[in-house]
Amino acid sequence: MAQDAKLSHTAAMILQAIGVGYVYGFNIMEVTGLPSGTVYPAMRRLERDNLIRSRWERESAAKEEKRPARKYYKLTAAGRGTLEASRKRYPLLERLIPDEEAKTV
Amino acid sequence: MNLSPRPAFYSGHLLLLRVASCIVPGSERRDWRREWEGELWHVHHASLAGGFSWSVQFQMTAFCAGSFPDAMEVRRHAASAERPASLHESPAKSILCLCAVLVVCVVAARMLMGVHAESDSARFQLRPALLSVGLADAPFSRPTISFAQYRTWEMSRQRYFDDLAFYRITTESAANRAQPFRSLRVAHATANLLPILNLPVQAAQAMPGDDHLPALVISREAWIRDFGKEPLLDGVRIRLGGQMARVAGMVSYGSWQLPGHPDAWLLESDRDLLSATPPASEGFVIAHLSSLGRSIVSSEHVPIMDDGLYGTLLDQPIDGPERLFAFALFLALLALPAVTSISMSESTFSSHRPSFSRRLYRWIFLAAKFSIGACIAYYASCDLAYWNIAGFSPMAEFAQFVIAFVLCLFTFRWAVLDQRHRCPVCLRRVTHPAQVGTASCTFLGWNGTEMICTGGHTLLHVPSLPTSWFGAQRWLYLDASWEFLFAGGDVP
Repeated sequence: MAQDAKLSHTAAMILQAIGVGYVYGFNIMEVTGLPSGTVYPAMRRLERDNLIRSRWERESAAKEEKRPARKYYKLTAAGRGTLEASRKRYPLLERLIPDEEAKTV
Repeated sequence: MNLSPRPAFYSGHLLLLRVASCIVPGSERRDWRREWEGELWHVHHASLAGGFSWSVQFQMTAFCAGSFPDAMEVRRHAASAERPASLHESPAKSILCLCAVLVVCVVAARMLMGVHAESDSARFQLRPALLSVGLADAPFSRPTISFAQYRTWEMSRQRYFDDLAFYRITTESAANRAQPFRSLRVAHATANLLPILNLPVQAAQAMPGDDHLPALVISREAWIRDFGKEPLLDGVRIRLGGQMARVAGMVSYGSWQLPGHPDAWLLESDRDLLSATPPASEGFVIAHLSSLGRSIVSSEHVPIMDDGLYGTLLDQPIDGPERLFAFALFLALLALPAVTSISMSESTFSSHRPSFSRRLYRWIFLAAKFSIGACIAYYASCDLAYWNIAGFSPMAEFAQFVIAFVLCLFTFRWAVLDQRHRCPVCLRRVTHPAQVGTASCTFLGWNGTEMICTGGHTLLHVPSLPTSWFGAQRWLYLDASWEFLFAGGDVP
């Protein structure tokens, strides 16, 4: 997808959340306030458009913490470009989900 | 002892995810479930901090319910992965799909003999003012008039009838060189029967006059059933019982109204009929009312003599599939506003409007969907209603009317709904639906579904709860002026 591609506001919010470090579905839901029925399908579309990429956490790391493995998402190069374009289009995006609130994993 | 219902709820939530996973294509199901079950575990784990709470369980259930749209999204994508990108949700694709369905319906209508039967029944109707004469207490289909009685009527002067014809039905074995013996219900009729009925005989010009053989006119049904739709049957000599006859043509389905339902009519001269028909043998008399007779007829059954004879009018009008469909179409158009709003929801967030040519193109597209949809409804209703009839059937006509009405109504409804979700600029369907806001916040902000045009022209906002200030869907045009207004970094 081109960097100047027009995302819906919801998709832009999710991209912003991933961009600032919310990297799995549940905490993207928490920070955006969007329901699961919106966040997960939107993330699939973003991944399909090659704006984000997913990877499974190592099983050993999850087992050490006695929890199931998680699927993490991160921006691709195209996603970063699109996020920049979206920030210009939706100036409130950065205020809604600022960098400093980002949770690291 | 822990009596918390939390584990039971957790199991219920896992079950919900398992049900939703059935929607996901098998190749992606394992990975999909692993992600959702992992996420649910973390949601559950986060809720353990507090005690058991119904609101937390409700939120977890809502979380699991979100797996259904996700599963459907995965399935939709899997199904559309093979489609060409240029055709995705494009207007051309919709028209092509409709045309393909129409072609299938038309081909089916051409192949189904029942559809031809109904069409012919409406096209070739009997001459008006025809009566079948019979005893009042006998069934319509039973022969009750003796040949001698017919001869007496024929030779006496009639006031109420200007023409009379007689036929009696016998079962004969028929054979020619090419076809083996078969059994036919043959009506031995006076030569004036078909002219009285005014039924056109197909290929009647092939009727030979040089060998003085009686003419045999077969019904279309018998031609299909007993002669295997043989195309070169006209003029063929056939042995019927003990006599020879020549096939003079085929009569259309309009003959359904004649009592006795013969497979073929053997048109014999008076001399042949007199020599071959015993005076006491009973048959049917078809009479055509004179102008005086028509003036006294006031009902379907007419007492015509003092000795218990009744005449039953044969010329019941048949509407035919086209007229029935036209009425169903009219009713469907009347009923359309009851099943959907017919507004095209042209309201926008901005003053921008597409060019006249774009708007014209949009209306032409809607008209095309309506037109092709109506054609589909016509042919599909004929196919479904008449696929298995051998002649006219009032029930089949009723079925066609109902099917045509339902198909028209729901095809038009689909056309309107589809039009509302098409970008006014490029006519592609808007996609990527996203739920925005919550219903409980309606007072402070809108909630509903937001969809975007894949060509990047428009955003469509559809409110979940129509309010006085946001009652219908609105378009937001993503044109250059929109970018100029919102691109600046100094917007608060």
